[in-house]
Amino acid sequence: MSDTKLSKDRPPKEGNSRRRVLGMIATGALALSGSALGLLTAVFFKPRVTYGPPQKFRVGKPATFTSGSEIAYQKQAVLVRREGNQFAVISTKCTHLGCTVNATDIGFECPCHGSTYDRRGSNVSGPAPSPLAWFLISLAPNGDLVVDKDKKVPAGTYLEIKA
Amino acid sequence: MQIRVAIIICSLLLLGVVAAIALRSTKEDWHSYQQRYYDLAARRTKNPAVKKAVQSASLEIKQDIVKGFGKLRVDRCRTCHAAIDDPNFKSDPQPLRAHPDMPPHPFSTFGCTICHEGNGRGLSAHDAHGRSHFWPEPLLMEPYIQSSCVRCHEPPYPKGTDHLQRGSRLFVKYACVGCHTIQNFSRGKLGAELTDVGNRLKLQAMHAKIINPKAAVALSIMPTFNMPKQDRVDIVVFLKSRRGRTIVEDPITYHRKNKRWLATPPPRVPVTLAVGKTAFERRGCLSCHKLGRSDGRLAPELTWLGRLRSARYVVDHLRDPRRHTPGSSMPNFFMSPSERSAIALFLRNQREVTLPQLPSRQYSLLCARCHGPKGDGKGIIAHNLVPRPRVFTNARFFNWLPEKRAHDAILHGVPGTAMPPFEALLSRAQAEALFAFVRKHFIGKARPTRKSRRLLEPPPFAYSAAAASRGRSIFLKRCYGCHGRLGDGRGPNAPEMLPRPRNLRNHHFFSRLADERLYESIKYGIVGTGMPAWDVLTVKQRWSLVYFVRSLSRTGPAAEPSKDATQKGGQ
Repeated sequence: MSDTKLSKDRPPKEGNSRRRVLGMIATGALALSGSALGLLTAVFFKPRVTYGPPQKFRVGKPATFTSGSEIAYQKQAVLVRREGNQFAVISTKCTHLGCTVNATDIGFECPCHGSTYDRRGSNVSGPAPSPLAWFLISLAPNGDLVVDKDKKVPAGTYLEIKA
Repeated sequence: MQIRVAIIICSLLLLGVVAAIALRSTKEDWHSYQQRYYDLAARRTKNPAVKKAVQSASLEIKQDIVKGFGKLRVDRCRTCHAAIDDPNFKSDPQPLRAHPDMPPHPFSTFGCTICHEGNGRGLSAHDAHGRSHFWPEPLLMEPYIQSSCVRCHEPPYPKGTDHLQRGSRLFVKYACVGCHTIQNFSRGKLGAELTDVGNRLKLQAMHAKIINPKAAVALSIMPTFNMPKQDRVDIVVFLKSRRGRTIVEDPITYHRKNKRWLATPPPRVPVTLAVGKTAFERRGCLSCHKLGRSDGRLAPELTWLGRLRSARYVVDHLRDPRRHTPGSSMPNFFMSPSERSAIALFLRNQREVTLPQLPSRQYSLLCARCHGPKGDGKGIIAHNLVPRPRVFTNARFFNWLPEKRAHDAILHGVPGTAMPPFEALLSRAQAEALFAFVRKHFIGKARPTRKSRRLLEPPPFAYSAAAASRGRSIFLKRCYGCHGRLGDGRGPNAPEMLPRPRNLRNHHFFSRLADERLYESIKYGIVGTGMPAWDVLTVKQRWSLVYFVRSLSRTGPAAEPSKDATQKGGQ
C-alpha cells in the first residue's frame, strides 16, 4: 500500500526541473523583496530635510543688483556678483579655517590668517589649501534669483539673464 | 508539493507588497502638486532663463524655519503650495494659488502657520491642515484667518479685518461683556474668562458652546442667544483672536496696561434722557430684555418696568444685580452712578401703556412673558428667572393660597424676585379681576372653603444669636436636603423639585414676611410644593428655625442696623 503511494508521489524525471524552476522563482522573489526592503530602510534613514539654515535661498530680483556689484550675504556666507547680465555666487567661507573672507579690489582676503584669493576665488597666497567654491545660481519661477549652496559649479560659471 | 506552492505564492505576495510600498513612497501628493506647478510655470513664463530653471528643477521638500515667535516653527507648506509667491498664479485653484500681497510679511521671516495654524511639518493635506481630531490648531480659513492679525496687532485692528471688527462690536452688543472677562476688554464675572480662549478652544467648540451652552456644561447659566448665523461667525472670529498677551508685548507692559484698565473708572455722564437712551443701547440691554418692539427674548420686559419700579430700585439693581436680587441672571455692567441714573430716567420715561380692558388681554400683555400664555409657568423667559414664575396650573397651591395674598402679590410685587409691583398700572379691582381670570382659566376649580388653622403658638423666647445657632443645627439635620447647606435653595434634592426650594438668604423676600408666617410655613408646610409640615418638631425648635432663617436673610430681628447695600453682601 505504501508502495503504491510512494510510486505515485515520487516525481517523474521532468518534475525535477519544474521543482528547480519553482524554487528559483521563490528564492528570486524573496531576494528581490529583501533587497528592496533593505533599500527602503536605507532611504528612510537618509534625512529628506534638515533643520539647519536653508541651503537654498532667494536673494531677490536680478534688477536689484547693479552691474559690477558684489553683495555679500553675511549669514549665508556667500557673495552675489553681477557683471553685465551675468550672475555668479561665490562662497565667502575661507577654505583654511572657515573665517568669512572680505571682498577686495583684487579678489578676497581672509582677516584671520591672511589668505588671499583672486577674483575667480583661486587661492593665491597664505595658508588656504584650496580655492573658494562657486555655487549654482538660478531663477525661481517668479523671477527671483535662487542660490543653492548644495550644488557647486566650476569656477567661472555665470548665469546669463537677458534684461 | 503543496508547501512549495505555498512558499512561492507567499514570496510573490511579499514581493508585490514590497513593490507597492516602494511605489507609494516615491509618489506622494506633494510630488504631483509641485510637478504640476513646474509644468504650468514653464508654460506661463516668457523669460527663457526662468523656463530653463523651472525645467531643471527637482521635486523637493521646501521648508521655512522660523524662529522668534515663541516656539520654533518648521513650515513645509510651500512644498505643496509652491506658487504662493508667483504672481502668475493669482487666480488658480488651491493648492497652486498665489498668496494675496502682504508686503511687510515675507514668508521666510514669518512662515505660514503663525497666521494660518495647522501642522507646518505635515506633508499631506490631512496632516498639514490639522484635520486630525487630536491636532489642537486646525487650519484657519476665511473669515477665521482674520483672528490671527491680533497675535501681534493691537486695536485699532488692521484693514481687511471686517469680520473681526464686527465680532468685537457684537461681543458688546450681545452683552457678552457683562458675564465674560477678557483682559483689557471686559470685566464680567458670571461666565468663563475668555482672555485666551483662542488658544484653548477650536472653532467648532466655540460654535457649539454658543449654539447650546448647556450641551457641554449642564449647569451653565448662559442663555441661548437668538442670533443669526453671520453674527455667530463674527463673534467666533473675535473669540479666536483672544490669545492673551500679543507676541510683541512683554509681560510687564501687559500687566501694567491691564491694571491701568481695571483702575479706570467708568465714565461719568450727564443724567439726561438722551444719554440714558444711548447708554441703554450701547450696554446691550436689548440683547436680553424687551423694550417696545425690540426683544432679546431672555429677560423681563422693560417697556413699563420703569414705571412700576422706583428709580431707586433700578439704580440699586444696576449697581450689582445679583447682590440686589439673589439668583438673578443679570450680570454687573460696572456702570458709573450717573449712567445708572440716566438709564433709570430713560426707563421711567417710556411711552404710556394703554392697558386693555379684558383681563385675558391684560394677562397676555403683562404676565404671559414669565408665567406662560397657558399659565403653566413656561413663559419664554421663565427658565432664566430664579425663583421661577408661579405655575398657575398648580391648583393645590392656589387653592390653599389666601386670595388676598395673590392680589397683594400682583399689586405690590414679590420682593427679591422678578415679580414687579403692578400698582402703577392696575387698580385693586383690576388686579382682582385679573386673578379671577387666572383662577377661572388656569387654576380651574373654584376655591374650596379652607379649614381655619389653629391659633399659632407664640414664641417661647425672643430672637438671639444662640437661638439662631440652635436653629442652624436643626436646619442642618432637617432642611439642608432641599434648601442646601448654605440655605440658598440649592440642596441636593432641589433640581428635582418644582417649584424650587426658597433661597433663604433672599433679604428682600424675607424682609416683608412676618415671623408668624414663617412659623406657619414650617408648622403646616406649603401645600402644592415640596415643603412638608414639620409637626414632628417642637414649638421651640420651630421658632429656632424661624430665627435661623432671620439670621440667614438678615431680616426682622436679625436685620443689620446699616441699610447700605454695599455691606449687605458681606462676602
